[in-house]
Amino acid sequence: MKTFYNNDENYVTEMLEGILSAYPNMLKKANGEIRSIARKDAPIKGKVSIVSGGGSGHLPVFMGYVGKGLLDGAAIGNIFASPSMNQMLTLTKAVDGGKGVLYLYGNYGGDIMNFDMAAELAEEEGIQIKSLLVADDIASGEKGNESARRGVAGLFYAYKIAGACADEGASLEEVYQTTQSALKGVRSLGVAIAPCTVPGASKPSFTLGENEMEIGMGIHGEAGIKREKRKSADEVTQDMIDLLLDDISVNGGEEVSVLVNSLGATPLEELYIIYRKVSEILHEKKIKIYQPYVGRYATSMEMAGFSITLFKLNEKYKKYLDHPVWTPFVREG
Amino acid sequence: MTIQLQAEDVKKIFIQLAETFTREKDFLNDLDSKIGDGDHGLSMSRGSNAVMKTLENNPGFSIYDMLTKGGMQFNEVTGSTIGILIFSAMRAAGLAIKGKDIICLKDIRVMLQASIESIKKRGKASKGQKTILDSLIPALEYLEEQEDSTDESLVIKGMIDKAHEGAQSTKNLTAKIGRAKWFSNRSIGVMDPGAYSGYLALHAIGKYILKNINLNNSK
Repeated sequence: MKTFYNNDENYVTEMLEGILSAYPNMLKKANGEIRSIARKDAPIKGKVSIVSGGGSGHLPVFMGYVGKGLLDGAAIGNIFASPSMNQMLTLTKAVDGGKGVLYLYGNYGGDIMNFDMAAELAEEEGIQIKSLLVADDIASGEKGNESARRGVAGLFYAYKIAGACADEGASLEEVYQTTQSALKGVRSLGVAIAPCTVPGASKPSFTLGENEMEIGMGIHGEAGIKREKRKSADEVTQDMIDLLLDDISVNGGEEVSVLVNSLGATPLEELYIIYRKVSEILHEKKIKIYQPYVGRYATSMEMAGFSITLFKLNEKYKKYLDHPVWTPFVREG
Repeated sequence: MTIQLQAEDVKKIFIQLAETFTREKDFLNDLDSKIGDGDHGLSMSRGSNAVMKTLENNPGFSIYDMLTKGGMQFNEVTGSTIGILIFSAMRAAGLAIKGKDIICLKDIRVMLQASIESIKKRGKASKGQKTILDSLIPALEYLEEQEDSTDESLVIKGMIDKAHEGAQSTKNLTAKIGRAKWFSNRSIGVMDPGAYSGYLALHAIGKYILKNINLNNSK
């Protein structure tokens, strides 16, 4: 793999310096800590703050969603490694507007341990914290064992709901409950055809034969549910939608939002070829698509592949999806 | 003579730990790439070197400071699962001997026990799940068995051996927790890098004691 970076030790810091210099009016370092990125106008008095974070290598997850209508801040770890407890704590203190902080992040062990300890120490300092894990990847836990699942592109919908709800002036408990309920209707599944290489590592995170693909591959290269011969866009999309609809029942007449996401290297052109098929399948089933998103929303460096996320909607969630957001990577409304 | 470690000794042990993990970085990465994401050696060497730098920059640190503030720096530079677990373990060990200027064998046992408890709590882990606990717990159990032994040199050697056996035993285990569980079908036959790091740490501590503390029992 050919790449452009200076050296692996400075990879994350130089990326963050670049983002901060590109968006000086939107983002800032919390208390001078470059691994703790807050929205420029934080803390927002009287609003519940939404904080996320995790390893680097997934842009625009996480700090690409820091800004009006989404996150108040994100703690940034090394590539594929959780940020430190102290980076989370520093950020928490910097963004708390007096109404409490929701920790909203993906279901990964390292992130949980660091966020849990940050929550304990923040609470000792009088900041109210609730934690909510995003666990939308159906490949990483059987139905009935949803709490084992990893968090992937569904993070984007979690941020949309929590951010909009917090902007309405809801309490910490209300933001938590609303987002938790919404996440019960969010399911994702990915497929990979080529791996990524972590800067500094001597080899890719996994190997796949030229004619192989792996359904359910995790965004750090975690094993998926089946490895098989590559199929056409239409065939693999059909398989994935079937698996998703096995997991979450959506009836004809109901509405969903669809997110077709590139894992990094797969181009927009291919994403729209996939979206075309998703739309056709759902149309046949009389499932209405309310608000589609197609693009790079949660990636894994230069991994080639894509994921599909379905979000079962009601009127309230539709309203929240329409809520304006203004961040480095997403600007709507 | 019995074991008596002063702040200066503890500092030298942390220098040994940094050297150990710098040397073993590639081997640990290699183990981790078979069952995880291949960065365990990098985390351990980065973290232990950060602890060493913190101690060098703060010559007045007590043993408690070295463990709690050094541990915080370990977490700061590595983040990740191992970063918070090592920080929790070092902090718990520090709290267990807070106020003490000299560490004896019993203190080592109490510190190890506190570290293990904190890792269990923070990591929601137990023995036999292919983690760092699989080398630390057998070592602690041995220290407990030998509580009344007067040959401290033999006890330290035994602790190192038990940690080594414990690390080796993880080859036969399937990963139940942590990221390695996502690779559980690939994890049989591979030693857990965390368990091996636990052994390396106890080995470095034990070797320092055997080399630098006069434990000649017959005199």
